[in-house]
Amino acid sequence: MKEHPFLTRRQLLLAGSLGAAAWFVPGVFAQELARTPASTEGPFYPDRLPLDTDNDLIVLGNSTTPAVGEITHLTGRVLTPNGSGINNAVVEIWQVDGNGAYLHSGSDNGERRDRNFQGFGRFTTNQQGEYRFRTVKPVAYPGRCPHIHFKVKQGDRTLLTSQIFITGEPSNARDGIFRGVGGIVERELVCAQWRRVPDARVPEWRANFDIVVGVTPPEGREPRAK
Amino acid sequence: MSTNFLVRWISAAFVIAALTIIPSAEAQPGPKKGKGDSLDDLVSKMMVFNKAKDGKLTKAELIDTRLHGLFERADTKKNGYITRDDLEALFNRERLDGSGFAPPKKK
Repeated sequence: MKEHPFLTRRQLLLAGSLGAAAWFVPGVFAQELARTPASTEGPFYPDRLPLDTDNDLIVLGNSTTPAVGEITHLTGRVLTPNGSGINNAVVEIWQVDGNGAYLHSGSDNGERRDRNFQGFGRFTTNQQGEYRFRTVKPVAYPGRCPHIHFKVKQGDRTLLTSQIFITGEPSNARDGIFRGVGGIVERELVCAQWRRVPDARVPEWRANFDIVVGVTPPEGREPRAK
Repeated sequence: MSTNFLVRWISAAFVIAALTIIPSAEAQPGPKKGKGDSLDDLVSKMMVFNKAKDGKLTKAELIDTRLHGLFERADTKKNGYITRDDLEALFNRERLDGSGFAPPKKK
C-alpha cells in the first residue's frame, strides 16, 4: 500500500475498518421506516382549483349527482421515519375522472370531463397523522396506468410529491413513471392494495396508503410505538 | 499530542463521515430515470431489517408493514422467513426489463 500524504498506513486501515463497521451498524438503519419515493408532479396539477376542495371528490358542493366511477375510500397516515404521526400536514390528491380527464385546461378528453367529479381534494392530518378521502378508483388513460397524484405539505413547504399506484395492476409494468420510481422495494412503497368493500351494492373499495416523509416533527412530540 | 497527529485524525474523521453519514442523510429520493432493477439493492434494503443477522428475515423483524406484501410474495415456501435466495427468485419474477410507455404531454 502506498503511503498516504496525510495518514500513516496504520491510521488508514483503522479509519477504513471503522468506516466499514459504521456503514453496517444495523440498528441505525433497520429501525426506520423507508421513505415513500418521490415521483413527478406531472403536467396536470389543476391550473384552476375548484371552489370545493374538500376530501370528498365524488360529490361537488351541495350537488345530489355523484361522479361516475367506483367509490374508493382512500385512507392512510403521514409519518416520520420513526413512525410518529405528523399533525397538521395537508395532503392533496388529484386524478383523472372516469373518462380519463383531469381538472386541467390542457387535459385530454376535456370535452368529456365529468362535471360532477371534483378532481382535486385536500385534507389536513390529525395528531396521529391520519388522512382520508372519498374518490373514484383511478382508471388508465393513453400512456398511463391507473394512479392518483398526491402532495404532502406543511405550512408553505412541500414535503413530498408522488403518485399512488394499484397493487397488482398489470399495466403498471409498462408505465414509464412507475418504472422510474426505482427498484422493486420503491415500487412496492408507491402501491396500495385496493380491497372490495364486502356486501356493497355497487363496486366499492378501500385503499390504505401510509406516506413516510423525512422531516423532524414539531418539538415536544415523542416518537410513537409502532 | 502533536498538531500533525491531530490533523491526521481529523482528516480520518471527515473520511468516515463522508462514507457513512452523507448517504443516510439523503433527501427524499426523487424520480430515477433509466435505472434498472438491482438484486443487491433489493437484498440490502430488505435484509437491513434482519435484526438477528442470521440471513433469515422474519415478518416480525420487518417493522415496515408496507413491505409485508413483498415479503409474502417472496416466502413461496411459507417458512415464515425469507432468505437471499428467496429474494433472488422474487427479483427474477418481478424485475422490469424493456421499455414502458411514455406519459402524455399537456396540450
